[in-house]
Amino acid sequence: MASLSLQHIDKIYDNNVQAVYDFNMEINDGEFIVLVGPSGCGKSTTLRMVAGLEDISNGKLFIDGKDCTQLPAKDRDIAMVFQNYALYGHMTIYENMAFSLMLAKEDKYVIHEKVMAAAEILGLTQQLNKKPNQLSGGQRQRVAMGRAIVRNPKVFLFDEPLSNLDAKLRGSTRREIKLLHKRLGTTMIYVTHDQTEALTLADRIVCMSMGHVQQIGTPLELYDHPKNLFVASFIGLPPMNLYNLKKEDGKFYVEGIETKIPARVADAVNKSDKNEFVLGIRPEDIHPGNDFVLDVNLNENTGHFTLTHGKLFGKTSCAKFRDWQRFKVGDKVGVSFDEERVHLFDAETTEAII
Amino acid sequence: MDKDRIKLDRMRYVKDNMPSNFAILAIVFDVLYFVLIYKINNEFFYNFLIGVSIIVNLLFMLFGFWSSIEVKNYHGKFGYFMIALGVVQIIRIFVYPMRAHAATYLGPEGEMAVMNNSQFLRSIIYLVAAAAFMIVGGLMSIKNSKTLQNYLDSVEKK
Repeated sequence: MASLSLQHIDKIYDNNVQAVYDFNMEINDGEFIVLVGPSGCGKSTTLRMVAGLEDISNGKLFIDGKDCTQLPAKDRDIAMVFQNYALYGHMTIYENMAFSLMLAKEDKYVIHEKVMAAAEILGLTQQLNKKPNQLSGGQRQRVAMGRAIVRNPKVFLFDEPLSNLDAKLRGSTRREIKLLHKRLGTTMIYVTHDQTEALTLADRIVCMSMGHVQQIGTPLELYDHPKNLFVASFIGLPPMNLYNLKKEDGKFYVEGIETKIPARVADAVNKSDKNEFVLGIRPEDIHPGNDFVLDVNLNENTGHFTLTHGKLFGKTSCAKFRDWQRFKVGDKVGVSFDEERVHLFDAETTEAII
Repeated sequence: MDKDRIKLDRMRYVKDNMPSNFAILAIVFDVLYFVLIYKINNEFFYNFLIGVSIIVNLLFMLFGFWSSIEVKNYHGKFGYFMIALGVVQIIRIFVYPMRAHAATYLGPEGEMAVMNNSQFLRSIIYLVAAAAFMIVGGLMSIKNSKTLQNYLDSVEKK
């Protein structure tokens, strides 16, 4: 196990493109950190800088209090699991898992014990004599994890390890990774663009956009109290519905329509010296009621919930209703929303107000 | 797990490389042997036996290589096969080297041995080495495959 300290880390490529801006974070022993964000936001670059696969342009990286900024990757005692598994096709699973230890000239009996222990943890004991091409994608990814486990590294790094798997396998492998973390208790840093993975796996999430850290917090903090519009729209599936809110002559206009807004929101707006805001309502916080009308144009039933798309305040919106709803296109559905769960953002700075 | 047990358990996943490598080494010495024989330009060798010798060499290399692959995977039966190939190499000492060393021909400097002492010694060394590697490799393979089989049986019983 190890703690990490990333201090004012920048990544600037030779062509002067800056991929990461002033990344600051303290990672505790045994913590599971997920870096999440859209493609090109700098999450993989950050991970590769921690691994030592990319140079750190500015800033410092400390692992267990030791300055590792300039330390070569091989000396950092870090194991990385890649999206494409990176297994040796001509070697058996046993040999793949033992390979790094063989290179380190570890005793062959010690290697055997470590490989068998890792195989036991990952349920690969029956596959050890097979070649990678005889395994499923999920099993291959487990082998890649096993190869990392046998080294007993201080930190595990995962770079979108589930992206090559189908949806069902992704779910089961995700649970295995979570259980693995509980069992090993090792510090793990995980990169994904999938917010479901981020929310289910992380002790803390780092949400990134355009190379900047947008918010660091627990999954619940990011979900319930997004710091800005980007986090609000990125975390949550379907994404949060956002509406322009204007205050004029003491009246409130949502998307240009004069509307009565929740008292909590009205208070916050009145306290502010600004007039333009963004109102955020999560689809799951909209429920059948009599306050507003949702003009249905698409109904998606998934079994235990229904996603109803339509116009609310004249803007395309989504509501997530419980159970199987039989709305038809053109239906006008009365809806309300939980006042306590409405979010308000400054339209200019995009920062959250409530 | 104690070291002896780890050693046994490890055999389930690690190839039996030593006998396999011995078989390859035996082939190398066989090649050295036939290169030596075929370099000697003498009428003594110009008969049907040279054809038989070529075929034996080809078969030795073919079956030797086949055995080297199979014993890697603890197929003990091929250990017996390797021993048989080793015995063939011993027999071959009496087919060409012994006879050619004893035979003479009339050369520019009078009567000379078809195979001189140096060539004779080298040919014996090559054949004995090829035989030794095959036989030792075969014995090792038989021993290792039996050990593994016994271990697997004991694991299955548990």
